[in-house]
Amino acid sequence: MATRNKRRIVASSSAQELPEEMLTEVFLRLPVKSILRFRAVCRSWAAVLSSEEFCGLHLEKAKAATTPKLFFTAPTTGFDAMALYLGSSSGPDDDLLFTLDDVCGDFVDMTPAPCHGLTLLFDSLAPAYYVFNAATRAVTRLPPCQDVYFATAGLGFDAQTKEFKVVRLFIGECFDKQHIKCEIHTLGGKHGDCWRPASQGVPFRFCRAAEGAVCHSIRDKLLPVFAGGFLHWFVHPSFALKRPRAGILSFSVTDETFRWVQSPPFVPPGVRFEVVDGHLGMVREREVSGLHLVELAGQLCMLRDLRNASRDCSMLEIWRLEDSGGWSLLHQINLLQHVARDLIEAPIVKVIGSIGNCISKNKVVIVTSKSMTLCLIL
Amino acid sequence: MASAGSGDEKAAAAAMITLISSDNEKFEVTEATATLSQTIRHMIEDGCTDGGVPLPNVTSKILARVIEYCKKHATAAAGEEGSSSSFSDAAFLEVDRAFLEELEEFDDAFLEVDRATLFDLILAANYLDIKGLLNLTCQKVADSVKGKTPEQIREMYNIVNDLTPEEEAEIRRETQWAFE
Repeated sequence: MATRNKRRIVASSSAQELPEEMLTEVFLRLPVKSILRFRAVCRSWAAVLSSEEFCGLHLEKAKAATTPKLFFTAPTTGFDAMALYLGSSSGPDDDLLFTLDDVCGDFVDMTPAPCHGLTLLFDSLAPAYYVFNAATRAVTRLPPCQDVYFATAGLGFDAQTKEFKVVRLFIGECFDKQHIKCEIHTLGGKHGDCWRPASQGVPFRFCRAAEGAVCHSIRDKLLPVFAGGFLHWFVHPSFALKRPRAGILSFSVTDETFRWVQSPPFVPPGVRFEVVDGHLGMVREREVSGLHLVELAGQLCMLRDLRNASRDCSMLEIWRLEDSGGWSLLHQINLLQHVARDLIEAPIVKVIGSIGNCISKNKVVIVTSKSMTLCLIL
Repeated sequence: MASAGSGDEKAAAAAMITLISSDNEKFEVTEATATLSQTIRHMIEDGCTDGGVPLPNVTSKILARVIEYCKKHATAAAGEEGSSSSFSDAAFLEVDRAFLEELEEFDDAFLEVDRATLFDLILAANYLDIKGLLNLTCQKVADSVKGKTPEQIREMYNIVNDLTPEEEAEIRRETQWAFE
């Protein structure tokens, strides 16, 4: 009885005149770090902030926030660590997410938009994979894996088991029976803290494309794109001679199976592939350069950079994969209408993601290799 | 399209609503201003605003502030609707940005109140169901506490720590990084 009374008093005086319902409204607007810390304030706060109901509400609010976060990295002053910042935020204190010691920013690959709140980061110097949660600022270093140098990895969410899976395609030792391999690490899952082979491996008919995906990803510093339950790798046409338009290799994160996705009709077949100094080298046709995949508003899209096609052209096209399997031209962007000419001459222009959910007011973010970021409203 | 929008606006401007505070003070506001409150909007739709709307939970001091907020944001909402068709127009975006900045400045100045007033505003926003104001005021409180330590929170709000030292240590141990 005495303790109950005491609790009452604490609850009513806790925020001076604010009833618990309104206190919850305030709590819902706090960052995760504060919520965890404020559980140590008193018993009634601990009870509210630890309750499943509150955590559910907070998660929903975070999901409903209309601006998915985009990230960028920067070296710290000492150059022996890397700092990770949030692209859109209110105060300068909030922008810095965390720093990773002994990681150099220039050697990091990362998906700019998170997958269900998590982001995969690859440090090619160590080499090591990290997964981080921008909301809680928790960083996990994945267990070491073999043959990291010729590998490409992506993070996907298995909607059935509610598990996050990091899927890695890599080229194994040349005396191995199977040259190309696929391994999976399930985060915090029942499989333990290790990598395991994908349940069905890489079927023979996908081997060549999978190799192509690895080479292409490494050379162009591209990561696979997660959309609709699949991780998508863009495969250069030279790796799919027999299927001239089968330009995208997709991996179902749930079934752990591969499939083809036809690329848009404009990808030309038969780009030459040559052996140069004992190494495989690609001779690219001009038009194929500047193609890359991106997820916009939950759907797989392909960017086509037409600046190389002719001198006067400053057009970018964004194509979207429809549920029917066909592609439709979603946007045509004339860069000259938005920026000065010198920016357009940047060798690489990439669309990294979109902000905002409703299709009509999508903002598409574009970065160029001149370290400029453009935000376009389409 | 745009002309039809401004026509509606004029019609709305003509209709006036009387709000009556708990201490019986009367406030005349336009319908466009009053309908930022979902509670009042429903009353208008039900046709029960003749003779004024009594608001027994809101004092005149707080009601005056709430109306000030609604007036400013009602013009903002009207401006947005009227010009959505020229969305892609660069000149419009410039104007829009200037206006949004002005609105932000207004909100910042509006929140320069003592804690008791802020809490009263939260309660009024909740009672009148004004989403924007509720969000603004709750966010203000959240911002004022988010970087604080548990000790500072207890001091700010006169909260007695009724956790045993073991319990508190356990909470701190569970999520050590949140306390660093």
